[in-house]
Amino acid sequence: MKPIQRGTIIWAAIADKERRSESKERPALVVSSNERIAAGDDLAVLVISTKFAYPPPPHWFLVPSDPSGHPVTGLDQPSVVKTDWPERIPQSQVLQVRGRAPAALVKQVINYLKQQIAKRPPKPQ
Amino acid sequence: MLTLREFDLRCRGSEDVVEEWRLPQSEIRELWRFEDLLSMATDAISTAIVIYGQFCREGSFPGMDSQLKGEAAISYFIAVARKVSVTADAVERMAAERQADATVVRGVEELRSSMARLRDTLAAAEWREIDLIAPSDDELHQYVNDARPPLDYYAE
Repeated sequence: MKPIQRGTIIWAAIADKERRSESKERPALVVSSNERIAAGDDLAVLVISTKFAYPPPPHWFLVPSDPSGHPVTGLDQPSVVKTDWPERIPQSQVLQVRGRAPAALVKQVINYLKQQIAKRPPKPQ
Repeated sequence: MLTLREFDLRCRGSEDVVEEWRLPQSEIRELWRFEDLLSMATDAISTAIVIYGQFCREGSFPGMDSQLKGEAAISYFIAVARKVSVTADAVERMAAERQADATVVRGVEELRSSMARLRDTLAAAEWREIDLIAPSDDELHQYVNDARPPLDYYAE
């Protein structure tokens, strides 16, 4: 399996967003740092889904795809990264690594997450 | 070594030279041969790669003052390197047109291989920029936990 890095698109068994169904194999974008990935920590990922209407809302980001398998992302259907569907995945549960998202897309996603994290109220002491 | 700002200025000059060279009847053609444009573009790429190499080794760009650090500095480098890439693309296209006319263009293969190295350098810089702007891993995991409480939450 190719090494996992920030921006890698992994495939793992993930339940639906409401956790009401059986897990199924889904792609997801890794947002963890390379240091924590190398240390073997669980991955912070954002699920990639084919369920969206065009144009997607501002918190979903289009990922390049191609019917014959995109040469960079490996995706073969129009898909979006859903920032409102994060998951924590143990590295041992990664089934496949098929590609990596373009740096420009990962930068957009990271900037969006940064904004959301900055908006959160501070934790009570 | 050239500072990043000096390099930026030099690149702007290179852009102007290439832009003017493309104009028919431009007087600049009397001063600059086409091979000079090729050398200029190739040298600019080499300098960009050397400057990024220093950033990787030392964590700062040559001559960067304390006002421009980390994320801002690398964003600045990426912007300059993209300009270098655009200028090199323009020169390479002109070279390809000449080659299509069966003209021998010396130095074009060197430029093309430099352009490939610049693409790699730019990609590395873009990922480095992402690492610098990204929230910490603890913040990312907290973001996941806030959005996706542990499974027992759903069982209640």
